[in-house]
Amino acid sequence: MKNRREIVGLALVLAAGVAMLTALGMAFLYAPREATMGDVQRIFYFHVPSAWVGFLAFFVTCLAGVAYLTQGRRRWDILASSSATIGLAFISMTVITGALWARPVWGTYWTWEPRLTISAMQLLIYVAYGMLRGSIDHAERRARFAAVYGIVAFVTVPLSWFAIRWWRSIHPDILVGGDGMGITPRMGQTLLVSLAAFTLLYAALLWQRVRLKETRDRLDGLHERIDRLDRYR
Amino acid sequence: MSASIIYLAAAYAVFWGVSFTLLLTIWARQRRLEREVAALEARLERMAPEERDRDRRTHV
Repeated sequence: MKNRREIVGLALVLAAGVAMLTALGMAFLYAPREATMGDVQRIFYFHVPSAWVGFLAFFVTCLAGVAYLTQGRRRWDILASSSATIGLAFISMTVITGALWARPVWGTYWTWEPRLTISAMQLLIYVAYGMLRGSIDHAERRARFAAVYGIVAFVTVPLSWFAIRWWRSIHPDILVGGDGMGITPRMGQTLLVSLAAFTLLYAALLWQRVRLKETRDRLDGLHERIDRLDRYR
Repeated sequence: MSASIIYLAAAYAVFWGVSFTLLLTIWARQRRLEREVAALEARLERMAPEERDRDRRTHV
């Protein structure tokens, strides 16, 4: 059983590695140079999928939170917290790569426009999720509070997605194009491969992270057993 | 090298750096925890049989 899980984990990491290298190759060798922004537009092929994985990870946290509240099983709490950690890392990368893209295109690293503001809030909200988990010692109470928090915090995802449609924003909409953001078929294909590669990377990281937490639980159980035996002596 | 290429390189470096760090950190922690689990299991095995029997009866 242990070996099978290790093999699945390794297979996921290898598949994600190959897919990421393919996406990298396509971003630089297959996708054409964008006419208005030039080469810096190639950030797009890692910036958008990073945001996608962040949203997906927070969605999984929300779903696992609902599952924990209805079933009370520890594994849902493990899945929720593992996914939130990965989501936070990817949203951080989205914000950083976005700022590095904005500097040469907009002339500034940061502007308080709707989507960027909501992204900053989302980042802080999920940092607080980690702080909440770290501040509660009682395992069941921690899992319950975190589940409720994870469900409520998910509201930032649709808010971020619709921000550029609901409010005036300089952030381009990749689905409808817009200012200097027309996508050619080759760009679209590269983006799709990148999205698939990032989803695989998310699956690989989540698998490893869940295994890590399960091993931590096993270790805690062994510590408890040894402590109990030591007390009997 | 134009300025925009520097931003492009920096963005990709951030992405690959964070991803590798995340993966390597998880792997390193997993290895350390597995070593600790193996050590504790070996310690349990070394304990006297009557203690282990008692532990089995009380362990939930």
